[in-house]
Amino acid sequence: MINEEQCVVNCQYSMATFSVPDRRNKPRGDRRGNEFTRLLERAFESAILVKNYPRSQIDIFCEVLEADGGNLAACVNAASLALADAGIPMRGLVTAVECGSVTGEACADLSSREHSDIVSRLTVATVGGKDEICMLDLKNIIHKDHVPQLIKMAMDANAQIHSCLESAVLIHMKKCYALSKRC
Amino acid sequence: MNVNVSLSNGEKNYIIDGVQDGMRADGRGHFDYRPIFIESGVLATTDGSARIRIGTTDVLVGIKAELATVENTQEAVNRIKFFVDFSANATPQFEGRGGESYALEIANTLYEAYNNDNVLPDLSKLILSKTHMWVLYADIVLLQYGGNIMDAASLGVRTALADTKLVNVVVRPADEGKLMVDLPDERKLWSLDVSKVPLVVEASKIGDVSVVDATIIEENCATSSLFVGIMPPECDYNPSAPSVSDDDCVLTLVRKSKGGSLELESIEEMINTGVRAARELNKALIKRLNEEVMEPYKPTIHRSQTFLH
Repeated sequence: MINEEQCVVNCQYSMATFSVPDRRNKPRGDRRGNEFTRLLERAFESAILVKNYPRSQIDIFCEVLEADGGNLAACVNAASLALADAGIPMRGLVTAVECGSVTGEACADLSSREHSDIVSRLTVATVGGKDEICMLDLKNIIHKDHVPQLIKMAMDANAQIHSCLESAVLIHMKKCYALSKRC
Repeated sequence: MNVNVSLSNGEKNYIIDGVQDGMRADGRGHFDYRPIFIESGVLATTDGSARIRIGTTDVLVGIKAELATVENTQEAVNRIKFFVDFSANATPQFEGRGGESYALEIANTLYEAYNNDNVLPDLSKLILSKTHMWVLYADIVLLQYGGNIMDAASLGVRTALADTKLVNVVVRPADEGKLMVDLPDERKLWSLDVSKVPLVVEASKIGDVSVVDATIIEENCATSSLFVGIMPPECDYNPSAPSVSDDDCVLTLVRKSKGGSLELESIEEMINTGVRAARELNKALIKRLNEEVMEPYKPTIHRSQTFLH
């Protein structure tokens, strides 16, 4: 039952056909793309202050132009910046990273050459660079004992990415503020 | 194509009257283009790429060459395969499959414009053996919609094809009397001859005049439009060749787009408009590309930015 009073967060994850070395036939509509779309929606629904926008829809469209691993994470980071640019209030900037491990040794930010069926990959998104996880997606299988280390690696990476995005937003904001001050 | 733009009748009349008096809303004349930016070699995952901006329209083109194994290359269709995608970033109307019909129109029109043996003489080089051939895919993504997608797409494809580098391969015998494709010891790259590649422009009928490079608002005021594709005559890129007038130009495409009906005189006028605009566009493009310093091919991304007028 759709509650009409609520705000709807509508996302789309799309990959250009030339974004991968082996050409794709369709940019979107495939199972994995739809999966990523839903994950993005859930992640931002929890971060955006949706109570401010009843009976409204927020569209977030992501277009991957060149894919080299960590696509979903890159989309989350880009969407956070876009939402900040749009002036939509959030509880914090949402950052994400894709971490993986083969033998339990965790690695942050895998490239596409590091992707394979034996590498377990975890995409983790956190709000405000802190300990609150708003998105978690595992690809391939992983031993239960390896999970905590992987998540810890992802949280540390997210904290760093967050400070990076935060300073970018502040610089952008200062530029815009300087412009409006002049007018 | 009609992207949803709310225009009152007063606004529409203002645009149409202005155009008929020779003054468009942004001060341009009938044959004037908005500022055009061209970048080539922008995508690392492609064999050739380009990004074109005309006004606020932003188009990204990637060329990929894939090796195909077929029954008989003599009977296979040897043409560039076009795919166009209207990104939802351009307007929410294009979410999911919203832009599919418009995108298909562009792709099919480009296919038709390129559907002859004269525009790309190097197509024959794509056939490697009786069963192996290169298939070229031209993928176009529309990032921002500002009107006049066709010209941007066609310029983009031409620039991307000029940027495309294909690797030389050798054909060796394999098991069971078949053939296989392999890389030679000496790696060499070759480029396509794009001097005859067609340029397609859209001539829009607003009131009783035809204009080129319609903005999104002008597109909504147009009664109909015509896609005109010309194969550039040799004199436009080779000064020593005999000069050719607009009337003697070879067309590779004439296709009506949008609803509305046109009289014969209008069609003739629009074709003349299209041919004149396409030739000028091609000449400006070649002049600007020649002015660029030609750098040798580097394995990393090579960016070149050109302004057209």
